[in-house]
Amino acid sequence: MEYVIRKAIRMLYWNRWISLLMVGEMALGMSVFVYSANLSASLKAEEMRLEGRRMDMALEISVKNVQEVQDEPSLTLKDYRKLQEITGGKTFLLVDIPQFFVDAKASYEFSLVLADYAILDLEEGCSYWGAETEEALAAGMNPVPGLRIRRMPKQFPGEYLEKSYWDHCVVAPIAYMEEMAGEIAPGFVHAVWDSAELPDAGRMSGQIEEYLQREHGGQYVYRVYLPEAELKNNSEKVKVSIRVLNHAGILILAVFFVGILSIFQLLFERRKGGYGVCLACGASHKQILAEIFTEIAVMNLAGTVLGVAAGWIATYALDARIMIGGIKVRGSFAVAGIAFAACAAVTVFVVFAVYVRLAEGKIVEQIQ
Amino acid sequence: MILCKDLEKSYFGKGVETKVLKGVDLRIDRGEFVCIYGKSGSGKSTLLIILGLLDEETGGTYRLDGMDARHLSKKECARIRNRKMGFVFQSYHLIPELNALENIMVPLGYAGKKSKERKKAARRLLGEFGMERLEKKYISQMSGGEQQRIAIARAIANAPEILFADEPTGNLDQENSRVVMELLQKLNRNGMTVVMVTHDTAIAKYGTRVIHVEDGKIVEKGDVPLSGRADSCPIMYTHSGIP
Repeated sequence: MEYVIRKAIRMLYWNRWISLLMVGEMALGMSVFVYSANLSASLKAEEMRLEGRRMDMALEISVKNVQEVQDEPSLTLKDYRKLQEITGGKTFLLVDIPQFFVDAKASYEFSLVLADYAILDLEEGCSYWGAETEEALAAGMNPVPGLRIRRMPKQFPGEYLEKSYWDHCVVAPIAYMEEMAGEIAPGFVHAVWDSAELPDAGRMSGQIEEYLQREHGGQYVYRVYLPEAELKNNSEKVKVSIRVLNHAGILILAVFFVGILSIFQLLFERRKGGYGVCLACGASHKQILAEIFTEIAVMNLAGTVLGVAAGWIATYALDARIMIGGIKVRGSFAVAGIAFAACAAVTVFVVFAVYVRLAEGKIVEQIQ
Repeated sequence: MILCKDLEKSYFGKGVETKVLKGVDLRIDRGEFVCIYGKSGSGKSTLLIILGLLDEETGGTYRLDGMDARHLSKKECARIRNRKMGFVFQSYHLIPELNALENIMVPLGYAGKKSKERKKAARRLLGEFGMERLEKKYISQMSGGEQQRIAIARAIANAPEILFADEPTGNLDQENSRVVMELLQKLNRNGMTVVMVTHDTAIAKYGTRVIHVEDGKIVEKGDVPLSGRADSCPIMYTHSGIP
């Protein structure tokens, strides 16, 4: 088998320009397919994340004029109390302030989350530290030093956010909003509601917007919206774009498939005499099949690996202005799996098609 | 070594049967240099191909070292071709993607020999044939005579017992033909059985025995001079091969 593999690689090298062309074509088609499939998967994941979420209403705060300096906070403790008054105590507020410390030995990164302890049923006067923040704690990087230290409880309210989120957080009382006002950007403020719990969700969202606009409307714009519904409305256009990209990728792969089949059939037709001589020299049909398989598999695999890698890089690095803002675009291992499965299927099919033609003829005809 | 009884070969195409071999009785012993001589279309190449297990007979029996060829599987035939037989063709049939050394290594590779062993054996053969300088050359860089000698080196790489040669000098000039035939004679003198097909009487006389094939049948065989006939060329040869 070692000889068979070496010979196959030798043959690939002999036809290296054709091989490179095939690899390039496969990589191009695969990268477009993987990129579009990753976008689609990310959109689907976001839809599933929002689907059936209890807290289906959210507050969006945006800056009116980015050129100006914002010298007042977008939401204060007083505003929070007012929101609770309007909604009958049904407002859930988190202020997520990124923390970054560096000392001589290491750097520490986590979120300081200000939350209402009454809603989360936590002990006042304490700060709660997630599993991933232990190193920072040990190094003395405590942003709220006046509080007693507590480990994050195992049964934390996962209905509001996932456990993995809390593992990277230090939770402190909402009262710290006053002290840390200068560090709180609009994007750090997350106010959400369960519309089913509000007696008149439409009217209350209007009241909330009106109040906040009155207080801080000079520098900020406030909007209460339904993220899931908005995503569904906006995603149709995105889905069309993704579908176009996806079809382009599949088209390139289809062209590649026809190309590789034709080229290999021509190549092996030309090499029929050579394979006949190999059979005369004592190669078994199994060895000839293994040679053909190795050649085709190496090319397909190289194209697929390059294509998947390029598609992955494009997923994280390329902004083709297709996706809606706010959706985290991520690579999907399922998509990579599909790509490699397609590679395997193409390899098997092309090898079968080529080998059947070769095996049809007798040795003596192939030599002659 | 080789025993054929009433050997027949027919080809079927568009409902028509073409009988190429019509009952051939033949025996070849170890160490012989047998020339199968005949005109084009006489069936001599077909006979060689069947003896070399490259095709199957449609009638009669063919025994190789006591084994009935009909009972051999494709895998067994491949193994026998690899270990016991070597083939030399009129058009050399070197693999163009491989250099001379790699072409010689082909049967060694399929025999499962390791890379170092293959290279060592192939280089030794190149040395014996005085063709070391051709090691990294491709067929486009070699003359016809050189290609045929590389093809012979490939054919004997696994030290086979029998060498089958189908018109080995068919594409060569006189000088190269002489060189190739002397090479085959030398191999025969060293104990290899050689079975060669030719339409050239001058080439046929290199053998120790000539078998005359005409219209799918053996018409004359043996180690005695043929009588002159209007439709055949007289062949004069001795037991040692060269007059």
